[in-house]
Amino acid sequence: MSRSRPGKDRPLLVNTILFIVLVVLVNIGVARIPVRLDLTRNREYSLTDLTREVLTQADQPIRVRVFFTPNLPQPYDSASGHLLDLLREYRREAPERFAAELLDVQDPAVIREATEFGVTPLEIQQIQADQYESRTVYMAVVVEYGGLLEVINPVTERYAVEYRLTDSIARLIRRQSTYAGVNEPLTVRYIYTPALEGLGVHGLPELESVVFDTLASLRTATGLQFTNVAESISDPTDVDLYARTYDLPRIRWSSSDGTLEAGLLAAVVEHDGRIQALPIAVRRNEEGTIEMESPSSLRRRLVRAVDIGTGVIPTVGYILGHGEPALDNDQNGAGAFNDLVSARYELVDVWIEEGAVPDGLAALIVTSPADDWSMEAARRLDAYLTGGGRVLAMVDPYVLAPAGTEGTDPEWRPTSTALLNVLSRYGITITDELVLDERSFVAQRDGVQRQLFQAPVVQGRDVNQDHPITSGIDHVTLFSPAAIDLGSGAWSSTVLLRSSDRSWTSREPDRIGPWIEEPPASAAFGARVLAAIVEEHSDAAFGAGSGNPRGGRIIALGTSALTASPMLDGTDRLSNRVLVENMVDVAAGNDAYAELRTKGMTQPRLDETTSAGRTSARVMSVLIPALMFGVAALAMLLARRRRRASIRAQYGDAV
Amino acid sequence: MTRSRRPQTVGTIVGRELGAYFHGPVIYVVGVLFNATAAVLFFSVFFLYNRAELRRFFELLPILYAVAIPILALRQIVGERQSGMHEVLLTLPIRPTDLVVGKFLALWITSVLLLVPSVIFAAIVFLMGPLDIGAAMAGYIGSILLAGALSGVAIMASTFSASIAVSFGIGLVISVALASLEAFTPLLPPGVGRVFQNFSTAYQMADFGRGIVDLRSVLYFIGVALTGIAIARHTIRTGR
Repeated sequence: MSRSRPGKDRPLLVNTILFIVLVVLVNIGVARIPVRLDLTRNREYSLTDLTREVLTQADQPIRVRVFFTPNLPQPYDSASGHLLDLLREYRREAPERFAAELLDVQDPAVIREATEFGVTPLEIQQIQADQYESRTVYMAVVVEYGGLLEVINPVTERYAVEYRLTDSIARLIRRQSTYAGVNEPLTVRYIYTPALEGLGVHGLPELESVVFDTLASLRTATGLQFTNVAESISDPTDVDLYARTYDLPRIRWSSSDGTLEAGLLAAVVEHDGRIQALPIAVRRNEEGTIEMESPSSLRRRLVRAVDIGTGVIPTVGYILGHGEPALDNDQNGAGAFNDLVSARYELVDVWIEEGAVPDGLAALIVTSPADDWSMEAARRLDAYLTGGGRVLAMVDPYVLAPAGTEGTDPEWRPTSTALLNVLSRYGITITDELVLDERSFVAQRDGVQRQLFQAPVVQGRDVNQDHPITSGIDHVTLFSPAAIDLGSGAWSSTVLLRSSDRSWTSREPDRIGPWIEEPPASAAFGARVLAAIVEEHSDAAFGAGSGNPRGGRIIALGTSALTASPMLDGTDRLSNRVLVENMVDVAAGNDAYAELRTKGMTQPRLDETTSAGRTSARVMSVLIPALMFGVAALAMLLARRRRRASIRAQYGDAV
Repeated sequence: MTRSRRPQTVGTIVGRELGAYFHGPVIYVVGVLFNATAAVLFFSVFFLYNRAELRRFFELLPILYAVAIPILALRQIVGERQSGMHEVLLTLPIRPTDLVVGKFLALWITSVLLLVPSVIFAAIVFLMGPLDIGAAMAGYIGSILLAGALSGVAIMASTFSASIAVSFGIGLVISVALASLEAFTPLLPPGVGRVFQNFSTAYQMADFGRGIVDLRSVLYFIGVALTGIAIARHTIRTGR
């Protein structure tokens, strides 16, 4: 107590300030050392095995440029914080190969650099001086590897940041290694009609150099060789010929003397017998001036076309020939599905009635056929599966046959039995029972809410959280799905999605619609399988992204509605989009990507609760703690009394 | 006093303080009110959010503790000053550091014990959905650290005045201010807001609620606790 200590005589205020300063400095210091322990079940905030594996594959430096405006308001600030934390984790994982740089986007030189990379700023709303105001900000990341670039823009939320980073790095590494194995030059044609320049299209004269400069950059960065051909097409006959040969849309305009003219503007990439045509969009805007696709967009499409041509982007087959939803139809076809899947795969047409499934496909997609499959086509699909093929089947049990020419009404008829029989052989039976569910989508129209029983919402424990396809997915909304029976075939099966206990079925598609107000009295309630996967090897682990590298698999969903725009577009359809992307990834054997995509999406929903259950939970949560303290207080009181009594007994009443 | 006997001295003080807490009515009243308030606030929106997680419970703790811990600390140094025990303590061969640390530990342990009945919340959530046990554990680790930080603040405040009301008021204001700093950051310029945000107990608690134990937050809470203890110690030494 008597030892002298330094600072003993310093005034209180000085000591206090000194200590606070010390604490502040320690906090600022450790703010740069993101040591974190992730205790969540799925290690939501740690790098995945896939990311670690991708980083080990890099044999050249990975450089990440972060174009982020400082001091962003919430929730963007949280996204930037998460991104920077993640980048530190990447750096820690591969310090010799990974470098990230946060750039000052207030510097005009940095803004110029961002523009060159095709990074565009974003308009956000924020509160400033008690008022909402608009602000232009940058929230983008540019990943560079081996002279090649990937742009991630914008990064506005924490969700899927690691997926986007890792996917970009993996694509760059794959691109670099694939390009190294390409020996033959790619032929790239720039096809244009000189008369288009007379329309005053901004940037048109420089377009040729945009195309060929992009190829020159690719050549410099990767060693890929190109044969560049610039083709000036003016003659109407040549325009028709080229338009037909490369399936290019004609650009039409009226000349000054009123005659209708047509021309072409496109790039075409040819390699190894594959042709990628890239029509360049030209349109008149609201102000009346003529606009053309931006150079940065064209550059991106060119690189993608080269990727497809060289096999960097895997191809997935899409079966056609039976009236399946068309991939180029956004309104009534599978255009939205195509847009979604094309981020990682190239969908190619497979005419199974005309021949066997081509080799080299990562997976095959089968959707609802309007017409019957032939037995020969079914045998080809069977042969594909037997040979270790992977199929994603999204098949409705009924199809609506169009009205006949003799005035007959459109009618529902069962889906092609030949196709369904093939699936049944592998243990997947898409039944003719359509599932309706009390836990279903509630539509709002003109302020009136209407429950659509035919659109089940699958959530909580009915979404299999232990499978890469569905783990992390909070809920999925389906439309008119069929119940699936899982047979006891040689392939192992796993349920992915299940309806609620309050679901029932109907075999009358024409009687199902928004007019149903309540379940029928005869409804047999019970959970039904809505999606499942069967695999060739029962010991093929789903976990750790191992998949079954050589075995066949079928992912089955009893509805094709998930290929349509209404089920995929919009912010409230994120879960549906993720499900579709995951199904395609797992069908293609990329299980680990599916797992990574859903990382951070988890919103562990409660099971179905009743009003009584909720009230009980509330009451118990108040009563039980109160009782615990009450009992503790009573015990303490009794102990004190006993102690007093024992003291009295020992020393008498005088104590 | 020899250095080797210091842990024993601190242990004696902690034991004495804990005994005093549990022989008085305050801990039971505060415990019931603390948990009842947490239950009502948590479960009032729990079924609306429909998530099997305790995150929102942990988000309530900075403000609930900011009120509860200063109340528990009423019987600390300032209470003893009023009862005359403080002078008695100072005549004993006890170092101010031991006294403050002993009282701090007793208050911290008591504050943590307030949380024990909340395991019933975890049990209810577990029964109703797929509760992530790891994330819940991280939340409880954060809560224990939060209780330590606010115990340090409360001990510090209890040395600032001879008046129970004034000391309680100071402890309450500092704790509530620390808890609510984050709420005001949107009204501040972003750069300033970020600095204030880092000093908010609610902000530092957020990661724990999500299932992350972040060294930055751990050191923040330890730093706050140590600041409180050091200032309390200095105040006692200079006020002797």
